[in-house]
Order: sequence, then C-alpha cells, then structure tokens
Amino acid sequence: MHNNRKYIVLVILFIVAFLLCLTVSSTKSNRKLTFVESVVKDSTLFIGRVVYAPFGFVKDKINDFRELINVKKKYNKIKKDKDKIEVYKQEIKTLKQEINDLKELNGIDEVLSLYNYKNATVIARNYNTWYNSLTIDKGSKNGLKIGNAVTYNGILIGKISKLSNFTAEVQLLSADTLNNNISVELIIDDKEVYGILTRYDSKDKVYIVEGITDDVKIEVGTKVITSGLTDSFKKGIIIGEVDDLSTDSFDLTRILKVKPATNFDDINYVSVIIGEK
Amino acid sequence: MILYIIVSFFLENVVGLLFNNSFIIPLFFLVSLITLYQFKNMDYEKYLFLLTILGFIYDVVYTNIYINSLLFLIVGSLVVLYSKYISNSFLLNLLAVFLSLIVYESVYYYIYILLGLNDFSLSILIKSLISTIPINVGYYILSYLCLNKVKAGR
Repeated sequence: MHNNRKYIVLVILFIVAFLLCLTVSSTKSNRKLTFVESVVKDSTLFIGRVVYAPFGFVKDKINDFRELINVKKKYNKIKKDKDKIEVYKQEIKTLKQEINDLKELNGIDEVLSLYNYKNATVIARNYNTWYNSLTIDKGSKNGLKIGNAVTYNGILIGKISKLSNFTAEVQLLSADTLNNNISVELIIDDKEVYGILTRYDSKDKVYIVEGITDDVKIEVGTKVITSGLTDSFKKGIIIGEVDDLSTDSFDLTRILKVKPATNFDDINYVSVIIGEK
Repeated sequence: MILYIIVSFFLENVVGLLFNNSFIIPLFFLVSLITLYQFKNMDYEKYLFLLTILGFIYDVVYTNIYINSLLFLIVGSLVVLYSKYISNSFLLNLLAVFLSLIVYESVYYYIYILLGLNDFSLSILIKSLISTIPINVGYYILSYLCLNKVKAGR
C-alpha cells in the first residue's frame, strides 16, 4: 500500500515536470507549429468560425447600424473635403508616376513604402494572452510568411509569429515578450530622426523608443512610423505619437514614450503586408 | 454532457470575440470540466487524464503555449480533493467553481511571471480576477440549471 502510494506520487511528479518542460519549451516565439498542431488548429478553428458566423453577422449588423447613425456627421465633413479629394487624387497619381520614373532612372527594384495587403479576420483571441497574440483566418496557403507586418486601419499592431496552412498567430506589439527591436522614424519637418522601439510598457500602455540623438528638438505629439530599415517592416507604417520624453540614467540618450495609435482591445479585422506592389 | 463540453469550448471563443475586450474573460471550457466531475461521479484518475488531454487540445487551438494542460491538471486535482471532503450541494459546488477560478488565474499569472512573460503587478492579477469571476460563475449557474433540468427530464 505504502509502495503503491510512492509510485503514484512519482508518476504525478513526473507528469508535472514533463508538463512544465513542455510549457517552457513552447514559449519560444520562433517555434514552428508541428504538422499535427497545424491540422488540429486549422480544423478546430474552422468549426469555431462556423459557430461564430451567425453571432459575427449580428455583431457586424449592430456595428453597421451604429455607423449609420454617424453617417450624417461624416457626410457633412466629406462634403467640405470633397474638392480637396480631387486634388489629392491627382497629387497621388503624379507622385506614383514620379516614383516609377525615378525607380526606372535609378534601377531600383524596391521602394520601401509601397506594399500589398492581405485582409484577414480575427478568429481566436485568448484572454490570458490578450495583449500578446491573436489568431487570424489566413495562413501560409494565402501567401503569409513568418515575420510579415500586421496592421489595423493602417497602424502597425504586430507581426506573424506562427503559421499553419489556413491560420496564423500574430504577435502583438503590446506583448510583454516582444524580443525584436524595431527601427522607427520620427516625422520631423526637415530631419530624419531614427530610434529603436525596444518594448511595450504594459503599465503606462506606451511603447519605449530608445537611441534618439539629443541634437534634435522633439515635441510631444510627433508622429512615429516604421523606418523600413529592418527586414520585417516596410517604411511608413504608422506606430503612434510621442507622449513623453526623458533621458537615460547617464543622461546620454533620450527615451521616448510613444502612445500607440490604436486600441489593442478592439481589433476585429487586420491587414497583413505580404510584399511589394 | 459531451455536447455541453464541446459547446463550452467554442462558446468561450465566440463570447471572447463578441465582447472583444480584456475586461470580460470567459473560461467556459474550464467551468464545464469542473461541472463534469460534479455531475458525473467519474473515476478521478480517468478524470485527471481527460483534463490533461483536453488541456493539450485547448492549448493547440487557442494559446500555442502548453500551459493549460498543467493548469487543468492542478485545478482538476483540487476539484477532486474538494469533492472528496465536501458534500455535494449547489452552493458548495458553486464555491468550488469560485475557488477553482481564483486558483487557475493566480497560478496562470505566477507561471507567466516565472517564465518572464509578464511583469509582476498585483493590480493586473486583481483586475483579471474581477474580469473572470462574475461571467464564469454566471455561466456555471446557468449550466447547473440547464443540466439539472435535463437530468430531471430523464
């Protein structure tokens, strides 16, 4: 009886140790999904999408109705800007033409700020990893690759971290585990100011940007975009705006607190940047 | 009962996506697994084995971090121990769910800190407990009433 009890305790300890090891090894952000994981995830989330479809339909209709209420206000605003739109359209057309001419002239194959999108719907988001990741309904079969930038309303929210055939996991910029530095640019009239987005401060809900030189005057409200200097993210994707400035403990470099331009709580649809136009 | 567990598995994600914020945390799948032990007097070894396997599936589908198989096992063991010493009544079962949710959220939180995935902040833990308990206790009460009706109908 005593031996039997000892045996059970040993088995339990072994199982707990095994599960703990599994937990630790699965936290690696660059871990690839196995074939079995991919199949189970794809098939179960497909059923999940079917179950969610009627609820999602009703939710969309309610949102549409809310939107409809604001239409009058929006219409009046657009009416005012109507004349400007034609000017902008013409300007964009001219600029595109100029870019193409310059590309041809200089033999450039790639312009950092032009990219193609793939739209996707959020199909699963776990509460305990709410600010870390979410799952979308597009995968490797839709042309997505690990590291692709993910945007919401044109604002950078994260990148693809895990892929299955028909789904993908997005690692959000608000993740505590953010382990790759992102090169960012500050939009200041006549100067190019670069910095590194190092992490997200979940207490103040701001990004921390470091490595800013102290010879440039930066004001609160300055827009921050991706610089296009890293492989993962193309140039010009909006990140947020400067909320606060400080210096490091040695007074050598400035640290910026950047307020994200989006609310990470309310993300239903996203766009994945999959390549150059 | 199987149908109830499957529905809870998908309903959890549906409710999460519908409300789409971190202030409402549905844990319907875990609640359904606790209810399973209270309604079906299963062999505890089988029950814990089932919980570990279902935790795996839950992790593969929703989290990609294998943490719930361990947590489900911990919570399941507590439910088994609790049921062994406490009599089976609605209020005491409700208390079991309440305590299980607190244990689940707290252990989850501390494992995340140990793994370096979260910073320590008591306010975050309290916030997540406040977000978790009302909706899941509500789901348990609703499930209890429905399952009791089904049982009585048989």
